[in-house]
Amino acid sequence: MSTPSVLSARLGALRTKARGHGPLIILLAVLLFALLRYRNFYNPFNVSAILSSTDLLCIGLMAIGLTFVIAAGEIDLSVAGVAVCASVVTALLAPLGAPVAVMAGVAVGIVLGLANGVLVAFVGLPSFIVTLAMLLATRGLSLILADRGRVPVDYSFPLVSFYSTKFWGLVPLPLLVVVGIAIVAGLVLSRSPFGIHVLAIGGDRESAVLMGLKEGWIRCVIFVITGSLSGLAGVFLLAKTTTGNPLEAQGWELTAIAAVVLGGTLLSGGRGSIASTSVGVGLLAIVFQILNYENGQGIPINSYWQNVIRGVFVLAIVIVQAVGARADQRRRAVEAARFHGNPIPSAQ
Amino acid sequence: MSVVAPLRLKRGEVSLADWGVWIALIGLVIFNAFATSRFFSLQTLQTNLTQMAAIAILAMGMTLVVATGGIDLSIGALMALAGAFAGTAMVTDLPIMHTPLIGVILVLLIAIVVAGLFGLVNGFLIGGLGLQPIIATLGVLIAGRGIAQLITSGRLFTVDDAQVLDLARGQFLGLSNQAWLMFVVIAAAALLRRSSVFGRYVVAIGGNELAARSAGVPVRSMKIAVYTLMGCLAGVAAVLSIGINGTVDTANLGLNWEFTVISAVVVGGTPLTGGRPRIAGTVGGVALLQLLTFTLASHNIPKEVANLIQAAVIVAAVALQLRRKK
Repeated sequence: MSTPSVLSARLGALRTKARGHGPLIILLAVLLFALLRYRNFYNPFNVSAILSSTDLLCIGLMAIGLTFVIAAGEIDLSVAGVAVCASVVTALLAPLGAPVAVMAGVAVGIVLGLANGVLVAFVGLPSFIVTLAMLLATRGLSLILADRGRVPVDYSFPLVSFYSTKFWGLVPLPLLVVVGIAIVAGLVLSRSPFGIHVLAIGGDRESAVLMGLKEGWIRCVIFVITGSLSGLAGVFLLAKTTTGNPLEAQGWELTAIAAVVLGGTLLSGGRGSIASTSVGVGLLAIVFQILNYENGQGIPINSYWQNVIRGVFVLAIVIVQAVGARADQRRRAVEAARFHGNPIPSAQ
Repeated sequence: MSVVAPLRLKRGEVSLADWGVWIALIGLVIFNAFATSRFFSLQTLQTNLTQMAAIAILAMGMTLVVATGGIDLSIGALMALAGAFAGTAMVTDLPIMHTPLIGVILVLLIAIVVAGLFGLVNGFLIGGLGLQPIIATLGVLIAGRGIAQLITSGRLFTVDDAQVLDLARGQFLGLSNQAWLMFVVIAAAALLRRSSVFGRYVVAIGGNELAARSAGVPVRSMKIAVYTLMGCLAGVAAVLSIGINGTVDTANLGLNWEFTVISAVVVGGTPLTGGRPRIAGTVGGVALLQLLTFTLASHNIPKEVANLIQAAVIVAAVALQLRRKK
């Protein structure tokens, strides 16, 4: 066997292995880019800053919940609004002690998520419009609760020290909490009956109903899950910023949705995994940080350029995925045609 | 569970669902009749028609986009882009920009072409490359406002172009120019929907894309066309909005308008699942949201409380349209 054919066989095998791991490969490439481009990107200070950034942790928590929602073929635009509401409530209740305040914050998320869930699953309203209204309502509610101002918490509030606790000076404690939640959520989505039911409903709701799945309850529960995770994201946001600010986290719902989609979860439902969402969240967080770094150490990029690059980056990855998916589809069609001895379909 | 409604109801089978938005609107008018002083005046009508014009113009395009089963989150960013280019053109010293009539037509053209081109990008991403509409227009939303701010360097500039101000603030035959423009766009959209091949194709694509493709509907180019049209309308809305405000502020021009417009479309009874556009319903939806804003403002309700009430009304209006499950 000549060398080129061995090489091409190797490449073919590699390509087969890489299939479906596009986002992960891009993430690794971006990490490598950062290593080569910046002298000190991987110093402990910067790494732990990324690992405890709200881009990674708060967006991550929202994106975990959104993965369930999107896998079931629904959408939740209220995650950031709910998080902000929870952060204001937690800040207001801080004098009662951290456990009460944190529980209240998460409870706010659960209640608001339940409201979403009931309206979507049992009243039968479209989730896009229910959660859009919830986004409007939670922003208003947060402003009312905070009396149009901000609610600062004291630096001695235990939540603040919880958030800044680091192991080996590198791994932040809140990251471990999020990773733990991601693992549990991943197992629930891919291994538990509940998760399979969520995917079944997203794949084909009529069939899922005919199979006897309690789709109403399942759809209600996913909004409660997302609500509670958004509530926790709000608690983390407060811990990071030490202020319950009703105007914080503008547009984060869209970032979280983008992270889920970047990971490869389809908005049409029926597919999704927490692992791929985690890759999507990591990718966005790293790119945001790289843009900051580039601004400081390389070419000055003002915030307008940063937005342009973010938008184009999201589009580029989604385009690559779409083109890849189309090529996959065509490959399968060709293979099927060969197998059955049919004429090979031409490209559209 | 989604229930496919019959395309046309039989005689005598008028569903309450179809009238949800109008019932809500009449309810709000009755409330105002008792609660708002001097509500029934030409002034009130003028104010409301003028304030709803830009949203209504956008909502016409959005109704068609939603009818294909898509959605456009980028319209606010497209408005900012159109504003950036048109605004930059307005403040140049070129004499042609300040020639009566030609100047304002040029400004409108620039805005329409710029926003239309970015609409074309949306259309290409969705129709050509097959991206999901939410994520494609989300990308354009994030990048678009950035580009707009790059062009103006984030500066806010005042518009003193008398023609543009007059286009937005002037009157013609007792009604504001904006209202006339809105009526023209609504009429055009209704015509397009009812009696054009384009309208039928749009409905066919939203109803069942595969079936439409098999039946020979040029799905790809129709999708591109509908997003381009949406972009062009965003250009018109941008010029109106600039004229009303008297400034070009790319950070805030059209910010979050997409949510208002989509709410109006859905409140008007067009389902997001596509295939059933209701132009008249959308007009009702825009009118309802506008009258609600007007009512809350004239009773001095603070903005944050107004948010809560608006959210409740949107949900209630959509709930009114639920068809009973079979």
